[in-house]
Amino acid sequence: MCGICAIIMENNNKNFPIGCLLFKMMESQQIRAQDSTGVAIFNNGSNKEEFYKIDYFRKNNGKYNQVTEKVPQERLDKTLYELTQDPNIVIASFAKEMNLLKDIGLVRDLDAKYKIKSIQGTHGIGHLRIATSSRVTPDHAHPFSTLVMPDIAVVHNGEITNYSKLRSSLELQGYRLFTRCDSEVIAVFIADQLLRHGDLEKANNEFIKKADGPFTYIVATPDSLALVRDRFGARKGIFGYNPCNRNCPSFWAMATDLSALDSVGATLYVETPPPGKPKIFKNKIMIEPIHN
Amino acid sequence: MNDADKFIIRKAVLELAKTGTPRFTSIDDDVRNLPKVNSKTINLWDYVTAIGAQLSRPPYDPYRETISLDISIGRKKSRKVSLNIPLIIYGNIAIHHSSLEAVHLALNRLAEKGNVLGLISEIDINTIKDNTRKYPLFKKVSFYKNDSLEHYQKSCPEGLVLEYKDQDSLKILQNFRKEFDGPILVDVSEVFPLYTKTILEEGADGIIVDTDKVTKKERYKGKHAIAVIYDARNAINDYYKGREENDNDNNTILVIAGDVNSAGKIVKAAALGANVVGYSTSMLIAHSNMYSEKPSNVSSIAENVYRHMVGTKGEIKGIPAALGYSDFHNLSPSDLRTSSIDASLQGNIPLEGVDRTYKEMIDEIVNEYVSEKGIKLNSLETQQILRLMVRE
Repeated sequence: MCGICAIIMENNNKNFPIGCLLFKMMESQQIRAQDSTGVAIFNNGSNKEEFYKIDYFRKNNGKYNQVTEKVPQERLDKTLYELTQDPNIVIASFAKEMNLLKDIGLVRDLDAKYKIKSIQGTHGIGHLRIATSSRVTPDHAHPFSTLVMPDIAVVHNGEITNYSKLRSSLELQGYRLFTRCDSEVIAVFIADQLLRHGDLEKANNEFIKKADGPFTYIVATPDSLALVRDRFGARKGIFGYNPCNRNCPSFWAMATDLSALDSVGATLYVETPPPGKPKIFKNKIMIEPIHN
Repeated sequence: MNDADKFIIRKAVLELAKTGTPRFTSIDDDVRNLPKVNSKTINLWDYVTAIGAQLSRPPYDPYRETISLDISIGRKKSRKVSLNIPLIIYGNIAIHHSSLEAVHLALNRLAEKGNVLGLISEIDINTIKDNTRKYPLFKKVSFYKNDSLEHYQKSCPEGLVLEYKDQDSLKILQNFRKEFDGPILVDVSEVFPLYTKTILEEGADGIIVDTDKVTKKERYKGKHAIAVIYDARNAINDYYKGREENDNDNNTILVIAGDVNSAGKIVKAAALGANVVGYSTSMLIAHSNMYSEKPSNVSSIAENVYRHMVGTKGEIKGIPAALGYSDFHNLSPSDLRTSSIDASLQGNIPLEGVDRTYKEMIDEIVNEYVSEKGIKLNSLETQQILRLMVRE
């Protein structure tokens, strides 16, 4: 019963506070889940200093302290090695352009803490979690990122039933996973595929082939979003378009519930992706036409 | 409660604490002076169960949804052989000619209905009157004969099975691999767990491990089939560690034979890491004809084997479906729970109630103690302490 949502601005527009759109969509779906909340917002070209941002949680007597480190390229390998050697550290995000914020509580709590409504960006994803198979802690909140490559984030609704099998196969390849949440596997799997061929659609098709169970997820990369449903279409997923108006530029929105699209006026060309076929949205110039 | 009752209960509790396993027999057996439970006779399969569907993991309906049992045998370079049921019939079916004929007829009938199983056979199917074959045959290579590949190809097998004995077996594998494009499975039961990596490096498409044979070896004394399956899967995983070819489509197949001869055990073995289960011919005929009142002629045995296999297929589909899987091969140890510390240690299976393996629990206790006392240990030292604590 988790809730997911995403926004991608048309024409690579990065000056609009899409945090407020995500906030509205998440609030309209808050009834679905209340355990934890999180967003990942991308702002292409904002990182002029060429550093990497590593967010992690340090566990100390059951408490979670969030720490952010800005690391230049030359110190990256050493820092990552040191962080991954500490069993009390859980990496939350590895980014260049991405701003990933998550915590336990409601979306209004997250906004009170991080002022998410004012964050500008080209695209972003949001998640509301009700825990089913793993614990309610900040490190188990979505979105999930990965150390495999920077700027990958995933929000997920459903269950990857063969999580253990996928996880062991990724671990055999040498990837490190930090939580017991099945959604983290999606992020690592997609990043591994992107490293191999760089094709987001192919990566998602490969995941659909390998993953079992009912799920819908949205994966965000520096220039695109993918909305993906399982082969049987057991979980919901919907997208719609908001043409440019006085208040905001045009954008595409994705969500679990139609109410979320309503809340931001993305009520044009509303569709649901066919089961097992990823729907890709790129933020370069114009999204692929889907008009009937 | 009188003193005698209290004594019996106390004794039972102490026995449980000492052995780590509940009593099989009635609590007043001691009073009746019946023989005591012998821990060696405990079958760990009975202490392993599959967890049911959960709120977040709704079951699929095996009668309406597609629950796939399909498996493809053959790595990247080999011609693939596909099975619709992950079972291979094996064993010395030459004991009686009618057994071979009955199994042949049953497998053909199953294949006609879309239920393709494999057969491992040492003798030729050509000796049967109607020898048209609709199922894949894995021809067993006799180690002591010095036959060429051509000899084994006379019966047009889809695959080969080679029994690994020593370095000479490796040479046969190397030679056959060069000329034969179908899958080659190597029975490693005689040498297990040694040489698995070498065998896979020489291009074997899978290994066959007979748990009955392996548990009789000194190395596995007192261990159960569960430990053998777990170790066999780990041996294959070790080969793939860090390799990019680790992929479901190109993976080495693990065939588990021996003590896996019922639907429940097939599912548990698959969860522990078996891809295909070897079903002994004699066991198959015994199981399928157990309740038969008809005289045992070839056609009635074939009919019973056919029905038994169709029934087994239904049963092994049902359990993964109830666990929320649409593919049988997605089962993993995390779908199992055990009430036995032994089973948890031997198969790395989570314990009931705590949902963690015994090793994980000990690991956590050691870590907590080490951090509380401010002791500095490297990973090797931690592993040594763990091994000592779980008496490995």
